[in-house]
Amino acid sequence: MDSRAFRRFRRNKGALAGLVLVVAVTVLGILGPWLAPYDPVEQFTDVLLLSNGLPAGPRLAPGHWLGGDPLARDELSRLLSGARVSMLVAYIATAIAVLIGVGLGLISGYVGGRIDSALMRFVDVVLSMPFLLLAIVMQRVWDAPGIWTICIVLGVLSWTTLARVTRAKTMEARELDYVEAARALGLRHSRILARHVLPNVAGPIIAIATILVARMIIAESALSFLGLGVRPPTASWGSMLNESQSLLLGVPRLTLYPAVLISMAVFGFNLFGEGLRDAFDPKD
Amino acid sequence: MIRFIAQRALWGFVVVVSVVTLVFFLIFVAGDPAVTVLGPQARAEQIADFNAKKGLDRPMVEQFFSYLGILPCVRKDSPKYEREDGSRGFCGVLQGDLGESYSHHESVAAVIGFRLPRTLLLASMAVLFELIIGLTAGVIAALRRNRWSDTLIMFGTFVGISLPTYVTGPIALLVFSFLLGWFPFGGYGIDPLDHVYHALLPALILAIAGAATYARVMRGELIETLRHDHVRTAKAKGMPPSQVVLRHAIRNALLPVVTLVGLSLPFLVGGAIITEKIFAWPGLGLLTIESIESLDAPVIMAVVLMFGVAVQAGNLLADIAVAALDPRIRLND
Amino acid sequence: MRSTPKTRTRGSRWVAGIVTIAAAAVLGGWVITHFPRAPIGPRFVGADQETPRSGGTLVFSASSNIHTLDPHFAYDTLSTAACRLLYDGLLDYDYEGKMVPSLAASLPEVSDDGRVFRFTLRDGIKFHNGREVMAEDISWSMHRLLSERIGSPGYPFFKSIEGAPDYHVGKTDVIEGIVVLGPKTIEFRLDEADQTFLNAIAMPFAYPIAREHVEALEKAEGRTAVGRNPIGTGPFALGRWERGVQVEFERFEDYWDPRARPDQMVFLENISSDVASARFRNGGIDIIYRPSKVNRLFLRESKAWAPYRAEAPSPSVFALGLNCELPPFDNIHVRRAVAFAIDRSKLERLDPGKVIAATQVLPPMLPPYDPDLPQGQVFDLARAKEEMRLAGYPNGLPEPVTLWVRGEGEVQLAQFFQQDLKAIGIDIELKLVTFATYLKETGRPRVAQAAFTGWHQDFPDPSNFMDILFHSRSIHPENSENRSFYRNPELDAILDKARPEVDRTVRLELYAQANAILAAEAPWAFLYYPIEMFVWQPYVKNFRPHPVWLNEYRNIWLDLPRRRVSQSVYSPKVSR
Repeated sequence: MDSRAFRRFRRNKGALAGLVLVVAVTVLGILGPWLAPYDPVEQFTDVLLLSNGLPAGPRLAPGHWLGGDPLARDELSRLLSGARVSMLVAYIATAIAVLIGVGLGLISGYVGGRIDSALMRFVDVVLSMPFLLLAIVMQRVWDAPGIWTICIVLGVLSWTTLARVTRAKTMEARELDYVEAARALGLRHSRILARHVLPNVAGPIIAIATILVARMIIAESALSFLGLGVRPPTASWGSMLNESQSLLLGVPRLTLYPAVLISMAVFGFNLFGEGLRDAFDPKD
Repeated sequence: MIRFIAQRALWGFVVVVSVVTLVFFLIFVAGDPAVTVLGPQARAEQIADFNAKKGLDRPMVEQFFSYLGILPCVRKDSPKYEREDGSRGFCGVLQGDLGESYSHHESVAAVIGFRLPRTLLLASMAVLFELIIGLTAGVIAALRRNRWSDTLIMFGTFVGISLPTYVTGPIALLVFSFLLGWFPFGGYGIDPLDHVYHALLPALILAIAGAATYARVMRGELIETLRHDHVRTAKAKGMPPSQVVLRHAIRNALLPVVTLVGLSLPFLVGGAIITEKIFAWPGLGLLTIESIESLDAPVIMAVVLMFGVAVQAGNLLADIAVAALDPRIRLND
Repeated sequence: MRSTPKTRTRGSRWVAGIVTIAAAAVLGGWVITHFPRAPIGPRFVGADQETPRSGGTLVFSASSNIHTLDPHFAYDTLSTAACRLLYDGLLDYDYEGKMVPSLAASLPEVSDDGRVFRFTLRDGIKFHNGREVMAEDISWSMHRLLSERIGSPGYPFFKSIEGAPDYHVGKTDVIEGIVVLGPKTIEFRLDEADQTFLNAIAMPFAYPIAREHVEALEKAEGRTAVGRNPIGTGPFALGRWERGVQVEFERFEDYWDPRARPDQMVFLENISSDVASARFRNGGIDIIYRPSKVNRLFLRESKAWAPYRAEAPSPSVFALGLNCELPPFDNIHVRRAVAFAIDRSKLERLDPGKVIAATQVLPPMLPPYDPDLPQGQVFDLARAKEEMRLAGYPNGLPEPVTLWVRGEGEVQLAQFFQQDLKAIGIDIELKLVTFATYLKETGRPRVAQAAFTGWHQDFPDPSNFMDILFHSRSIHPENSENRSFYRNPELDAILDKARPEVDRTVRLELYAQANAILAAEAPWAFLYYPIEMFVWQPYVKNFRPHPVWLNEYRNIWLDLPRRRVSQSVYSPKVSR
């Protein structure tokens, strides 16, 4: 990040707030499972399950700060360990999307010609696929989908914007004088790409990728909300939202905790990403 | 120009075919529809009967080309299976036959025919709300730039983008329908006015993200156009400021928004799955979920096909519009 | 361009942020504090009329949609429930689960060898188009049902009729075993004696449908049109059907069994149980079954609703299927150990009013169910450990067992039992598969060691559970119905003897023996029987859960006009 962009970013209060949120949820994702006071899958049927079948609240179950979940597990521990799953899925899926998108975008923009148009047409194909529908179908195809399947499904379906932007930026960079000079000097392509093109592309990519993380959080929890995401007993914020649906009317807090966390995480990544974009690509 | 359109259309066709192919084989791998349709209690002979009736006992490739309408029909329950002269007829997409739903005992065209208008109603109301809310907010924010209301609106748009429908939907349903009783508890109603009334809340929920996006785009564009020369000229000529904004700036700024709306439509139609589920809106989204649950391949394929065609048509129209409006864009790619 | 002083911008941003967050917090807090408030009792009561009278509209709902109203395809619960209003069969069940004549004037005459059933139709029964129902109609409907062209899933239930298999594959044009003896008399001849044929005849598959109407429709609009626009003989005729939204049924004036009924019934589709429960408590829906969990818990506790609710076990059983061909469950003692080790009461506590512990394969309303069955599977840790010792594993199994589960609900269930089985030294590894894979793979021999499984009766007869699930005849190389691959010649012999037995007492005695064998040999470790809860508004009269059809709405009458009653507000008390 060059210093002007950095200054622009620092002046942007919203972006800084976003950064704080992003750091907070990321740290939560890293440390969460270790902070959890209980095993997130252990069922405390004696303490956390009331005789009327509802989970106990924190007042009735000392030691369980947020009470129990619909299956008498410790809500706080599940939220904390769910943080890692949700963050992991979002980051890995984004990483996959970045790898594919930036890779194809660089090749497409740098090589140009037939390869370029072929790759861009491939982007067209991917764009014509109904995202959620395809994700659901793919979830059904693979038995016992784990975290990795979800990451791959989400990553493979969402690299198109990245590829397009990378391609455009690469083409811009290719026209730059010093890049043309490097090419004329016969430097290796990989070296030109890495040393001269990539730095020009990196800013917007980071910004888009950050917003993509937000979209991945939403997508993962949407799948889990439909009961097609992370499989129990593993907790993710989305699957906790799904599990608490049947108790929405009676125990709304179980819905609110993951809902607030998801919204906060998405909000943070969106703010941060927008801030980055404004910093790298100032309009005014 | 015509050559360009033809090329684009041809390419769109290729894209749709490849998407359809991919999904067809994905579904094929996904498992045995007979057991999901007939349920866990299916007898072996019921399964065999079902597979024979639907042609699922034929090789995968034959099924695929028969679905496309290139090979003869494999579905024994199709009226086109056998011609008058005893030879086998065709019953594929090329013949305009989308097949028969496995679980609904009805042609796919009929099943979708019932659902599509409902989804269109929901989508169009959502677009309406998106535009009304988004554009108003965007204009206010742009005109009162960096003021209190601008900051609030921009903050609101961030919240709007960050709140998924599966968070806002249930809460809205419980607050506005259950506690306050302003709106019905989901569902579709029975007469046209009732449909609109039932669509209000889901459409609003569906519109949140779009409205936030449009507000941001509108604000950005408007700020940009307000700087343009002709707007300055109009101002200098002594036009009242409200007139300037209405006559010149908004009209100019609207163009990118309209393009965005056009491109988002297929996604709105195909992507209302979660909203439709929460609000029990019996449209295409709900149908899609059910069909995937029950591996109702003909319906899934039809939805994918429709979606693909819609996206391609949208892209083509957008390209043509842009090309028609801006002659500088060369049409050779 | 207006320029604003920097300080003001910065300050106002913070104000805006704080205002928004505060507003969100207030809204959120308000929502939390107001959420659980809902009417404590019924909002409306009836007019206290003594005698049943017709009129009014009954509204009820279901969480998914009706697939077809063609009885020959009605194989799911919703379609069956809707067909129960539109059609009638020759035979039916009363509220005690006993078979009674419906379209037939009386129970059929059965030949001595138990192979021939002769039915005489009631006089004056009419289709909704006004035409009288003749024996020919019954025969024609059966031919339609069993034809290859229609491809109904109902075929296997009727293949014991003479000539039905040949007709089904198109070798013959008529079924020899269906003989019309007179305008109102029809005879069914079977290949072999089989008492369950009467149960099959009472299934919705065998409901007659008007020939001229079907033929005209099929010609004009295709085969599937019948499912949208049917003509039957039931107490209600189809009114309007807004697909996926609601079906309206109008009372049929010429119905042969006149009694007070609503003028109209409205069946709402695609209403989730949460939404349905909320609407019900506001008075918008007249009767619900399967309320959502919170509402079920509330309605069970509420005194105000007590007179208007009923719980009835659903005719199904859920279990842990143990593969009797694969180790370790080829050892009967290991199977018995599992059956004794599972503490089923935990389930009853987790979901009160939703399940009761299962001890045997037959559900409680189906004779010869025996609540005190000596061989019944109950939780008994000492006996479980003893069985493990007998099996030769006093310290537990050396290797974990793979349990196949199909979906989240079962994973949660499985977690409940993992702990129990651990106590006798059996480690369970879960293998989560899609529903389709589950069905395909568990139907193959020697694949799945153990799997969650269950059965919902097709018709109320013990053979429907035992013959299909445990007879060695139900083992196939693919798609076995006997998914535990249990083979026992003794059981086979008992079942083969019981099925054709005409004497009900002897028959039940035989099935009681089979029931005891299955509980003792434990090819399944039985887990629970689901319970269905029904709640209705005070003005809904004459509803009872039906032992076979469960939600049987055709005999309801409405005590109208309804009156609004004053409401206090309920807030759930949390108590241990």
